[in-house]
Parts: sequence; C-alpha cells; structure tokens
Amino acid sequence: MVQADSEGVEHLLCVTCQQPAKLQCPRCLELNLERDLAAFCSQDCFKASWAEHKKVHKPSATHGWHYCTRHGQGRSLNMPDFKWTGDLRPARIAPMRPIPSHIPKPDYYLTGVPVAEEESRQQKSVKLYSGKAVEGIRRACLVGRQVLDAAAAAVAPGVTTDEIDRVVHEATLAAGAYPSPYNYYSYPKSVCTSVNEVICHGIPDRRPLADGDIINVDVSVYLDGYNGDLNETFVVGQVDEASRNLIKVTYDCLHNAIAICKPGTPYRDIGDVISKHAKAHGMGVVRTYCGHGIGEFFHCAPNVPHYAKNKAKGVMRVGEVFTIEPMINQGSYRDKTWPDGWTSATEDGKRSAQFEHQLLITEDGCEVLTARLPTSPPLWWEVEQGSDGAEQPPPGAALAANGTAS
Amino acid sequence: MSNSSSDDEEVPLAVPLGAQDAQFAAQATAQAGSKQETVPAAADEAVQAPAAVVPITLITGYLGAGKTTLVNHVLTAKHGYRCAVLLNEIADSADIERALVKEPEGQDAAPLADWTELENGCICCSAKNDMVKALESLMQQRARFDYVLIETTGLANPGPVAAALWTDEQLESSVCLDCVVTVVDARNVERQLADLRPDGAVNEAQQQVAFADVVLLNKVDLASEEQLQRIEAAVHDMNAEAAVLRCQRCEIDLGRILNTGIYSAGMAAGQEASAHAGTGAAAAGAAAAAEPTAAGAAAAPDVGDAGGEQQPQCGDPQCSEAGPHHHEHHGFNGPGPHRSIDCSSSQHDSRVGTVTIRLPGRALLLPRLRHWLDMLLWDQGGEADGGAAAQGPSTILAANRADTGAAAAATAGVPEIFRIKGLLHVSGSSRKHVLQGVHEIYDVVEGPEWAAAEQRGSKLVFIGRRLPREALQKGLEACLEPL
Repeated sequence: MVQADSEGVEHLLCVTCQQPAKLQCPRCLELNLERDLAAFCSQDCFKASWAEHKKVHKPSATHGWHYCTRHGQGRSLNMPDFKWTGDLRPARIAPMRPIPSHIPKPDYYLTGVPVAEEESRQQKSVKLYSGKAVEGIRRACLVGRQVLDAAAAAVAPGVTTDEIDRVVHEATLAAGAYPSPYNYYSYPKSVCTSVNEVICHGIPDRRPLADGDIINVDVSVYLDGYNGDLNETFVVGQVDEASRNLIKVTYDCLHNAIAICKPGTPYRDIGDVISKHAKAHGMGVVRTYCGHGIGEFFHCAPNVPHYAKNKAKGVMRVGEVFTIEPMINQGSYRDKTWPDGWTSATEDGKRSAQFEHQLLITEDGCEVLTARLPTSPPLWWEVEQGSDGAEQPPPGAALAANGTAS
Repeated sequence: MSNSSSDDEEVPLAVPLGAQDAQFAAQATAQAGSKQETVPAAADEAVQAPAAVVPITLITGYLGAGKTTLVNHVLTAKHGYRCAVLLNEIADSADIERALVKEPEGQDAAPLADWTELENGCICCSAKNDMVKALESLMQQRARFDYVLIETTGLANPGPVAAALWTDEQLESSVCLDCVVTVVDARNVERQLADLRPDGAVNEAQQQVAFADVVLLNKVDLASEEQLQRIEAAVHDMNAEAAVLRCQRCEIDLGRILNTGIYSAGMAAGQEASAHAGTGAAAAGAAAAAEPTAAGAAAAPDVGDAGGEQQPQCGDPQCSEAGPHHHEHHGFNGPGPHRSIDCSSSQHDSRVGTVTIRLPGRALLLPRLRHWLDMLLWDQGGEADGGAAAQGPSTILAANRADTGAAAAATAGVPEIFRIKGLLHVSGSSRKHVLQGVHEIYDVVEGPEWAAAEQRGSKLVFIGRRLPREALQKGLEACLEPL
C-alpha cells in the first residue's frame, strides 16, 4: 500500500490496516522483494497478516511479484542469469489478473494450450471470410483499436508497463472481450509491451517507462468468437532522432506493404517490399517472427514473412484475413530470447520498432480492419505536424506518410 | 535477526523501514544471484556468427525395407561421420513429442524431449515449425553432430515434413533439409508399387519414391538381375530425377546421402537433371531415346521429349513384343511395368510418374513463371466460410476438376504434383536458374553463368500423378518471352 502525502512524497502504508508503515518484513528485505507489499505499522499487524503475507516469499503466480520464467509457467525470486544484450532488464511481474466469468473465453484460458487452434485445418489452408463473420472480425478489430488507443493515452514517463497492462486488461473486459494473449501458451499478461531493444513479446512488469524510451504496445482481443490484433510504437517523453526515424521507417514499411495487398498478390512479395524500404534506411528486418492469418483463431495460415526472398506459400484472395507486423531494428536483424522464454531482444542491444495492422482482402484491394480513428492519439510525427500546422514533414521523417489516418 | 529458514516457522521480527535499508539492500543484492528457482536460465551465450548448417537427411520407406539397417549402419560403421539420428515413431505427421534421438555412441535412444527444451512450442507467428526448432535446440545442446538423419517410420507421405524442413536461407537455421532417401526392398517393392488403392488414393510406396532424391534398392541379393532392372526402370518412370543405388544391408557410401547440397542455393552446378552417376542413365539430349539395353544401364533415359517419337524398351515383363512399340497409357508418359492383362485406365491414372518438358532456345519470363507455379501448386480452393463457394481453381486444373477438396481430388482424377525440378533459361539474366519444389514449397534461385558454348534453354521435370502433359507444356510456353 502506498500513499502520497501533501508534497507528493510517497509513504508506505501498512498491508494489514493501511496506517502509515514503519516496519518491513525482514525476509522480503533479504530477498529484495516489493517493499510496498512488505510494509507494516507494527509487529502485531505483521503477525496478523503473516499466514497470507509469507506466500510472497515463494515464487508464485498468484501471490507477490516475481520474475517470469519458462514461458510463463514458472516464477523466480531472483533475476535469472543472462547475458543481456542491452541496458534493459526484466522486472518482477504482478500476479495474473482475474477475468470475470461472464466473459466468453477461448480454450487455452484453462489449459494454456490452444488445442482447437493447433488442430485446425486452418493451420494448413487459409479460411475465406464473408458476411456475418467479416462483421464479427471488424467488431473485434474496432475494440482492439479502442483498447490500443487507451493504452497509448496512458504511456508517459514514470508509468510502469504493468500499469499499461492494467489499462488494456480493464478496457478489454469493459468491451466484453477477452485479452487474447492471456494464458496463450502460458503468457502471463493481457498485452505485450516491448521497450527499446525488445523486439516483441515483452512482458509487462514493474519497470517505469523513462523519458527517451520507445515502447511498442501489442493488443489482441477476442470478441464473440473473433480475434483482432494490432500494435504501434510510441515515444515516451523526448526521444532522440535516431529512434524517431526508426519508428517512422517501420510505419512506412508496414504501409508500403499494405499498398500491394490485393487479390492475386503472392504473400511472399510482402517481405520484398518491407525489406527494400528498411534496407534503404540501413535498418534490419527481423526474420524470426512473421505476420499470420487470424480470425476465428489467434494464429493460423497464412504465414507472412517480412524478409526478402522467402518461400511463403499462397496468393491473396478475397476474404482472407491476416496481419502484417514488421519488426525493424536499428542494427542487426538478429534476435535473442530472454530467460522468460518470451521476450525477444535485438542481439546487438540496439533499438527495435514495430507496427501491425490486420487486413481483409477485398475485391479492389484490402481493408485495414484496425485502422486508426480520428480520435486515436497522434503518433510522434502527427503531433509535430499538428502543432506547427504546417505541411513540411517533421525532422527525421523518411517520407511523408502516404494517406492519412491509417 | 532475519529468519532465513523455512517460512513455515513463526513470524519473524519486522525491521524498521529507512536507515538500515541501504545495508540490507546491499546484502540482499549480494545474495541475489545465489537463489535460483527451478530451471536454470539460458547459459551465457556469446554473440557469435551462425555456424555451418547441419544437413538433414530424411529416410523413408516401407517397414522391413531396411531403414533400421541403414540407421544402424550410420551409427556403427566407422565412416567418420558424426550423425544424430532421429527416430520418428509416428503415424501421419511429424509428432516431435514422440521422436527419439540416438547418438553415435549407440546408447539406447532417448526421447527428443530429454535433449531439448521442448515446451509446448509456441507457434505464435514464429517462422520455423516445431520440428526445425527442436532440431536447432538439439544442435545447440550437443554441438558435435555433422549430420542429422530422420527416420520416418510409417510416414507414408514425406512431402509435408520435407517441405517444413526446407527452411528459408534467411532464417539462418542451423539445420536444413539436404536429401530425401527412400529405401526399397528388392524382393517386395514391385508388389508394393503395383498395389492398387481402392478410392484412387495414391500408392504410398510410389509416393515415397516420388519424393526421393536417392532410392536405395536394398536386399539385391534376394532378387534376380532381371528383377532389379525392372525395378530400376519402374523407379525411373516414377521419378526420373532420383539416383538409384543398389545395395545389400544398406551398405552404401554415406557420402551419397549426406550433405548432397540438393536443396541449397549454392548447389546449382549439379542440378543437371539426369546427371546422377548412380543410375548410369544416358545423358539426356534432344533425341536421346536409348536403344533397348540388355544389361548395365537399367534406367531408361528421360522420356516425353516434346515431339519425341521413339519409345524406349518396354519394361513390361508380360509383354513379349520386341523392338519399339507402344502401350496405351491414357495420357501417362513412358513405359512402366504393368500387367498387360489389366491395362485399365484407373491403374494408370493413379500411378506416379515423371513428365519432362524442354523449352530449348527461348527464355522464360520469371515473374510469369512464378505466377504459373503459384497457381499450379497451391490448391486455391480454400475453405470458405458461411457456405460461400470457394474460389475457382487454377486454369491448369480447371478442366479436370469437378469440385474442390482432397477427397474429391482422389475420385475426380485431379493432378497431384509432388516434386518439381528444373534448370531454367531466364529472360534478362546470363545465369542459369535452378528450380526446386517439394510438396507445396518451391524456389527459383540463381545458379552459375551460362557458358558461352552452352545451348541455352529450359528443362522442367514434374513428378506426380495424373500430370496433364499438354496443359503443362502449354502453360510453360505461355511463360516464354515473346519472340
């Protein structure tokens, strides 16, 4: 329990009775655990809470904050040993948030394994959507967009990624949807938050965002049987030019790829377009993770690589729904996975950005199902364009974005 | 004062917040590294350049053909190759959870899961399939293998597994498909190949041969020379590109099946389609239909030359006609062993065969060819939602197809393509291009320069069932550069 006094200085409150705390659990101190969960006003209060409190001393998914291990199946009291590639380190993660019973859930909510998805024919052949199903997917994508916008509004220096997770989790539930990442192969949170050198699948934790950071927020929701999936990279406070450039180039990579999406385009061409633009700016394209089919399932066919000269199968047809989600690195394209089994970081520790849209192929091209709304918080160059009201591109921008609010 | 033993004991004495924090914090930090929970974190890894790619040889064949013998030969013979062998006790798909790994030292095979951190593999928009990731994990853990052999017990159709192992070079996987080897039993294979499936489904023995880069004709001591030649001819009919090696107890020079470079982009020079030393086949020329041979080179040369009139020796043991003659093959090219008493169309329609198409002199437009291959290989009749009709099939298949779907394909006589190989003359390039296709995946990569003296042209080889030669020919001609 934490409370700020009249000068904004935070004081810890007793876990048991919420009075100002003067004491702390010695075991928590020894283990370097979260102080606000260890604060007590008196030995009596400490003793009263002991049976419940001591649970945080053991790594647990339900009590206390711990380090994530084994894809989310494990917790550790201490940060794992690892040769970290940059400055970022994992922080402890919160217990899993509850999901109310009235929210319809996918099969993996209980087991961690998306069995229906794994066994589906849609792993091999691409489903063609039309009619009511398309409307359902559109609705899921709209909710996803609204949730991402809420997360964007919450991004600020000092805000933890765990707080972003809370915003996403609550906004998703409020819309009657299930946060798709939650327990997907044991993923412990409702959103992926990837800071600086993290490429993707960053796990929300106790680390506060710092001025100068960049952060990608990747939202996926499951509404009435359909999935919506999108992500954007935001600046935190004042960010250096190289990072702004990285973000804009990544955005343009995505939109250049969207521009060629129409019936008859082979999926393998997407990677050629993205790679060409990234290379022209001296940046690397991540190869390990690809765009994917989505709809009834979170991940299914087709596979959409972002790198050039790939052997991806398939040619776009009306009714196909999939994502394009290029991850672009300032330096090498290579990635290295953290001990938590999820977080993927650049091998050289330099920064990475990502943008993602979910698309539906239509007769004359494609529909961007997760398009930005007029109310969406502006991306960094949109802020600058708005503020000086002029038409010249902001400093560091590669090209003027073709088209507007998506 | 801090109670560092079990929490089950009494509540310890709380300590003040504040001043002593620094002291305790320092102490706690010092201890931080020592208390690990369950699984140790990934070992420190220096940033390193990717190591050489370990080639994968996929071994298929009927039970009893000798796959196990081959595996044992690999594991025990003093051949200098350090191989890991993956035994896949599976029914129909690459179920890695049931895969076993055997090491050169010859200990009992242990589950692959023991070797690797095979957790519920997250597909999750990952570029590599589970089997590839498992193999990479294996390579990392025991970095003393030069080769991986995967024995696919009972896997009738090696196509999807082979395609999945043929990773994009950009992924810099530590493993990659290198060679598909089919072991056949000289004593039983003719019967197996002739076995007619009821609903027009493909004969598995034929399918295994279709995907082979190398066929090991095993147990030659149990068959006559005549039989062996018939088998070699039959194999060549089905798959004109495969090298056939006769052997006993699968004792072969392992260099023939390991690190062949067949699927690597660099190995373009060796892609001359019929230049496999093992078959002794005559080099293909424009009109090189072979004289009927009595002994020696058993494999018939490429047949189906555009406009070629001569038919090579008929391999039919029942057929007593001497000299060139012709059996009705209902659109299927080339002779092959068959019972002349039953020249039924259904048997021929469902038989695996090779169609070779040559396009001498003129260049192909690569984008057009790619588009044509996309349409040809990828069943464009996807699963439609809400009862809407699936999109129309490709023009190539349209004439033959009544409706979509694999079950329908079996009954309606739809063409199936298992392998494609080709050496291409591409418009706008002074380099040869190599075409390689396995199952649904194909690639066209640049090869070496055309030599000044070389006659430029393209040759494509299709291995599959019910291949419509005319339609394929026409489709390819439409991809040629206009004169």
